[in-house]
Amino acid sequence: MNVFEEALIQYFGKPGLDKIQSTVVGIAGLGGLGSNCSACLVRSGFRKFILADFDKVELNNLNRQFYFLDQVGLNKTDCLKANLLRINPDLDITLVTQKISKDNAAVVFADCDVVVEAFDKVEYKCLMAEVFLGSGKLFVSASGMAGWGNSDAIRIKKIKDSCFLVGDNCSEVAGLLPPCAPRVTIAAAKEADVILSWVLGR
Amino acid sequence: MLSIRVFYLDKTMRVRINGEDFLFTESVNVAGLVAQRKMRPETVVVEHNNVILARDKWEETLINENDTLEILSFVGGG
Repeated sequence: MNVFEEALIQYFGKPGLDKIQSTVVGIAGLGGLGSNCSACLVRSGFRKFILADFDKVELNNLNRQFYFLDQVGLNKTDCLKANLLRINPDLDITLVTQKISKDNAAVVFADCDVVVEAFDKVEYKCLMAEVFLGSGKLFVSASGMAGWGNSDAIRIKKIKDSCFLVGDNCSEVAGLLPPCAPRVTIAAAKEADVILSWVLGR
Repeated sequence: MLSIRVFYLDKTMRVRINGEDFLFTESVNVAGLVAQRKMRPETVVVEHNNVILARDKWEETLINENDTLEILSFVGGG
């Protein structure tokens, strides 16, 4: 246990931190939701991750995603791993730099206790729900966090014991409703909070 | 084009949707349930009695007393 993790014991106690550290979290999509959610989880003591994204960091990601200017053009998987390791150098991270599909999703995240849907396209959100809604794993998804203002509308909806949906369920990203840091980060943080409370409550 | 079938029932039917109980006075298929909620089918995932229900099964699947459904609808962004 490193000094960062020892400092977390004051917040969670040893039994709590043990629960957190033994949980494997899979994150599908490392954009505004996935990158910020993973940062919240690492700061909360989680150390085992499977991170999946095929994309590279782009300039227009930097308005909300947990990357830096000098990482533009590089794989999101590699960059996020590097950034998270700066918070806790002892993370156990598996990177999957490929597109998630109906055929590979269950295999990629097979070892996870928790799966976070953090894609931006509806088609992929549906795909993840179809694969993981009945999987027995905790499945946390998000829908509706574009634009600005009225951020109290971004709520956590319990679908069932193993499934939670975060968002206002109506603010779709579009020309006049871009994805912006405050609302996207709120949704990502709420996804992380669902996971933290679920793990500590076990 | 989805067809929505409605039959009137002799008594009310209790159905659990996303953890809440709903009473129905008429029989309905899953396609009808999604339409009632004004959801776009291509943005919706339905789990019916713990089984994910493919969209091409929505019309033929009638909701029965004490069924459990989880209905998730999504908008884009992240």
